[in-house]
Amino acid sequence: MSNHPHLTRCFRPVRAVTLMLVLTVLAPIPDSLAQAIQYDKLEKLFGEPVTTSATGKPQRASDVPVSMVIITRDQIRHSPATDIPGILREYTDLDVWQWSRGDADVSVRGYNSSLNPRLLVLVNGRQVYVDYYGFTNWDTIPVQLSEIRQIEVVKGPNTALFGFNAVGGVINILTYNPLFDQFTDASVRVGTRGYREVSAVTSQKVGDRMGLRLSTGGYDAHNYPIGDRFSGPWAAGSDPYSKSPYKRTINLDTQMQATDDIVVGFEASHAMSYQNQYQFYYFALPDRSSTDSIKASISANTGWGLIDGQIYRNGVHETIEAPDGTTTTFQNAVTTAKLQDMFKIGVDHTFRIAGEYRYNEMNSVPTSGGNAHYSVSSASGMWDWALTSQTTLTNAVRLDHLQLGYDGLMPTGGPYSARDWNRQVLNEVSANSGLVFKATDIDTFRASYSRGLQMPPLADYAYYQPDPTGFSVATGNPKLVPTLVENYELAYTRDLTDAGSKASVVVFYQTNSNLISSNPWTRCNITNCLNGPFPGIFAPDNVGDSRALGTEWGIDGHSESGWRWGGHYRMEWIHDSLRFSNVNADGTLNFPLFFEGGAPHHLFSAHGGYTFGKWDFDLFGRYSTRYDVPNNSQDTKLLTQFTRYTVPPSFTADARIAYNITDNAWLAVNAVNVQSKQVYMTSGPAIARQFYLTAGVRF
Amino acid sequence: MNPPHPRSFKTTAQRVKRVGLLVGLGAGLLVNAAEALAGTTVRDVLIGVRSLDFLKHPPSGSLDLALIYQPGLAVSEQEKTALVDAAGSGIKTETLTVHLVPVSVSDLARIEKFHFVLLTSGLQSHFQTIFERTKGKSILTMSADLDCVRSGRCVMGVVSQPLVRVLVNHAASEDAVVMFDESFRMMITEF
Repeated sequence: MSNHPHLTRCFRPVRAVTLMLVLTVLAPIPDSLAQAIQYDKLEKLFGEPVTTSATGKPQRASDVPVSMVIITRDQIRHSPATDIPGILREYTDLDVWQWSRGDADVSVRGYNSSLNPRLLVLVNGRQVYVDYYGFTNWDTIPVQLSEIRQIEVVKGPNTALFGFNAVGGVINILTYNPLFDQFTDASVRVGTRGYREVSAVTSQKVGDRMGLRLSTGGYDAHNYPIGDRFSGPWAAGSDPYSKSPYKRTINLDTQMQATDDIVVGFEASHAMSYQNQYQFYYFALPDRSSTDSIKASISANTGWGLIDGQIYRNGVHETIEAPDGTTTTFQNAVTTAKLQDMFKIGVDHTFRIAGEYRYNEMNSVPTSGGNAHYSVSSASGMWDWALTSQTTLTNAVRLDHLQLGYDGLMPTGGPYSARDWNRQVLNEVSANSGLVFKATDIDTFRASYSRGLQMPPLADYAYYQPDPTGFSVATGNPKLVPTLVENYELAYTRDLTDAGSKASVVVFYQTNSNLISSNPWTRCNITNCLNGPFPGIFAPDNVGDSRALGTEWGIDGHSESGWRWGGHYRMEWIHDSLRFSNVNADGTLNFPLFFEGGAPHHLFSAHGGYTFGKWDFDLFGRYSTRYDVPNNSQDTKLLTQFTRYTVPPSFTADARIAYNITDNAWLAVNAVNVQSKQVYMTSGPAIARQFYLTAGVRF
Repeated sequence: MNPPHPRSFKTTAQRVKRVGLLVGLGAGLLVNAAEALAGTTVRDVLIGVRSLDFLKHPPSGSLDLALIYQPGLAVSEQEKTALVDAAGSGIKTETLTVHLVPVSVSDLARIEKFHFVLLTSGLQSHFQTIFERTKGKSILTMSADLDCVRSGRCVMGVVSQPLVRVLVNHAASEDAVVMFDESFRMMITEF
């Protein structure tokens, strides 16, 4: 275990935030005008969701130049799912690998993996994924479902707007704004397998110029049964699956109308979780995490345009426990400062210019004493040009400059020197371009190109584990280069207004260059697959390329008589082109990277619902053809043997029946995986059928 | 040496714009044909009322909206009657209650007492007069007849079917001294 003092300097922004708050409170009392995006009013005006996640500019969902799904408040409310990954699995064509209670990996259009680092997850623009590896621990996201206004899913790279990790896609979770939305919500939920959950949210105005949103919640549960197929290296009765996962979160958000044209925000959160988490080497270990965040933001309507600034600091403290009882602690802190200006010139041109600075650091693991860090300076711009009243061209570009550093105990025994660790890693360009043509009021065509970068996770630099026998060393690799993802898309959307529905079809082609295999315990020393022949050295590496071709079809609708429905279909082929063969003659893998088998060729999802008086009925179904997930031979306690587990074709169904006792109180029964006692979604244990009973009030 | 052909001076942007215009022409004709068939509905008015929330200085509470019509012109009178009946005791949103007050084109001097004006269909011959009477007085003129907006005689055009569209003539809004929220401007069609 380690505890590095360098992390404490990231608390400096706290003082600046405190000063900002004091200045705001001392400001003259303003009118009740606000300059933040008023989602509720805009949605009621345009009759569709609005978003800023596509280009940074506020846009109607039908205007965005990217493939995007917006899951609305009503859809969340009607979902049988009790957590965000569950909702994503039902409403979109995403790949969701549920490993155990609380542990899930979500990806866009395949390319999923354990601890998937290709998805950027945000809450109100603040990243909530675990930065040192880029994965998302969904149980440490400090948000209750009842405070979510909408979940925005951008498919495909969008790094020109959001930066690293947005190569697979972006999920931006938007909560209610206490300046505009006032409510209190509380619920209690019990379920099978010892599930107990409470959730409470209040969003209120304090005086005329301040809003406050406070939320808290958590659950306790038993884990799913391991099942017949699966066994672990632990002694009977002592395996981590016999332990009970839990989560606890709390979040405080304040928004202040400092003047007619300025809104200042301050937000802080804390979360804790315990789960059986699949590591990047496809090996489940008990994981105890706590996260903290602090954020300050400002939005101003000035003569220079709409200016938005934010600074935040995320901290992660995570401990995993090996079967032999030893623990490894990851400590990671990332501090980010952003400033952007959005302005319109004339009537046809909207521009966004932005700058960002990020400092990210973590301790060396599992051998303590070192500290890996990098700083990223970025500049970006967006130009939205209304060519005609029906045609819009949007271009965005971003330049990142990354400086890698390492101090403290240096990894020794490997091929890398201090010069390798302390160097400029990249000056790279990301880009997005999209052309939207509204042929008629109801027919929209879209063509887009995007170029995104996936930065190697900081953990891939910071890993260091010498072998006491001197035979080998596992080390981070400072010579890793980012994965380049390019995506090409054509899309057509038609609003079937008379039927209250919208249909869409998308064709996409994606290339990935310099894929990263993060697992240091590969057999690379056997095949000399590193950036040089270094027998005895284990390290992450760039291992090759991959490309994907696919199409997505979808329709969603509702009627005034209370019906709601939708259906989505995805067909996709992925082909990996690695620099050397990953698959051995006996079918085992040299390292756990096998994207071409990891996405089902066919994926269907459908939902239907009906509101009848005080009753709500909703049913969701999903069918997936087979796919392969890397599997660690957990029986042997070795981390160097990977096989492929073929997840068979499967159908899953979730259902919800709710009774609205009054306008403010309701009861609901949710059933997840109702079709069978258990279903395999990964190479890990099966996910069990679950039933929940929920009682809630909202006023 | 011959001078370059004038066409060669066209920028790539101009060419792209021209292609876009040509491609959109056919579809645009269809859209315009649909607009010509549509009169002003209470849903159109509701879109206009909701748009008031995004003025630089948005109104709140109860307000009067001048509904301009032409007596004797069937389309205009029928719209006026239908809208007043549909509005009943007022068109309500979360922040506003809007009362429609019919104003005849023969009595246009009255509209200077209003901050918000809605034109019924068929008033093409009065566009200029209404524009002159509202110019520089912070009066927002709106209509579902988009020709009024395109000609720069109305500030805002509203269409609720098949999809909501809000159009603002930037020059007309400046003439009328009516300013919209910057983020709203980024979400509508301006020309």
